Amino acid sequence: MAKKKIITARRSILCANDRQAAANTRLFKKLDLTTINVMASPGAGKTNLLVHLLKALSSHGSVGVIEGDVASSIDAEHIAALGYPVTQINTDGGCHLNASDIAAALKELNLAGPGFLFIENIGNLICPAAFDLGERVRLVLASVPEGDDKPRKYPGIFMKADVVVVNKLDTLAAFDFDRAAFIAGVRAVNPAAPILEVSCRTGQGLDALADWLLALR
Amino acid sequence: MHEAAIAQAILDTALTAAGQDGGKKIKIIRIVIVAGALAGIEQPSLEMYLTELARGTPAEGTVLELKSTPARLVCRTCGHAMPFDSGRTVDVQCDQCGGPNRLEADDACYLESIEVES
Ligand SMILES: Nc1nc2c(ncn2[C@@H]2O[C@H](COP(=O)(O)OP(=O)(O)OP(=O)(O)O)[C@@H](O)[C@H]2O)c(=O)[nH]1
Ligand SMILES: [Mg+2]
Ligand SMILES: [Zn+2]
Ligand SMILES: [Zn+2]
Repeated sequence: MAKKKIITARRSILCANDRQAAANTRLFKKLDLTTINVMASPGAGKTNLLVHLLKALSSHGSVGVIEGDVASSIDAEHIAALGYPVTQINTDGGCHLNASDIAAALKELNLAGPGFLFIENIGNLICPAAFDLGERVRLVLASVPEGDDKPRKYPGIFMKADVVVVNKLDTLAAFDFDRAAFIAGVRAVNPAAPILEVSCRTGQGLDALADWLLALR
Repeated sequence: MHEAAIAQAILDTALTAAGQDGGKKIKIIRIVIVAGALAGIEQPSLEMYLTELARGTPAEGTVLELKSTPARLVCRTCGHAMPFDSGRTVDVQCDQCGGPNRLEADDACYLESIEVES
């Protein structure tokens, strides 16, 4: 006769990822790198934003990028061509970066602080939020053409944001994006995160964002 | 793809939990998972991946039981609370008084228990 038994063992499903994320946090601290996990839908302007922030912050210390993409190295090549240290992660169909991807990329990048490390996560508003990378800041980027309802439709990622940035402000006239509705949507899921409006096209708001990041150091 | 990663994490966690039990030859016949409304976990696709991944492991053929933790929208003005289902859009306004709602939900996902047979 088979013996049956229930084992109660409460443990996080992502405990392996969480452990690696904690190790990453310790490493970031040792290297004196303030790490920013940039999460957004495809085409929101993550790479454009990084290029602006790298330029703004490079006079204050070292800067570098870990580029996550399903495939291709277009974004990494773009950043490398500008002379910034960058490592590419290709997830081969994977829809998010996880903490061990970052640990491996960090070795390759060989960046030391004091300074800033940016991680461009996979373009996706759903699961990147679930995978802690050990970062200091979760930056969620939205953009005007995507519509003002995104925080209400993807509450999980906006809930976890430490800062919410709205990009492509220069296109407001062409879209029916309601700024107050966007802010109300963010506030329904996240009471505290600052909401900053920028345009990577005109440069509007980017200094304020760079200052916000500098104030973390 | 995401479900595959989660299914693998569930399987690994369950196998670890079973391993703590002496290391005798055992079979996992039920895995009970608790997931928050924002964990983005859907039973059918998760089950499909778990079935595939568990093949050839002590968890082959296991049943997956998914319990979801309740989530709600609570009005900051009058306190009126409404259940919130995953997959719905967040209502920013209270339907009683028009005040601003706040979502109370999480994306925690953990193993609660496993049932083993030896
Ligand atoms: N008008 C306008 N266009 C912008 C702005 N920022 C980015 N873009 C354009 O939006 C497109 C996507 O920008 P990227 O920076 O490549 O976006 P991304 O989020 O990195 O995209 P993926 O990595 O492919 O997910 C490009 O054509 C940019 O020129 C902006 O502020 N205003
Ligand atoms: Mg990009
Ligand atoms: Zn994913
Ligand atoms: Zn109310």
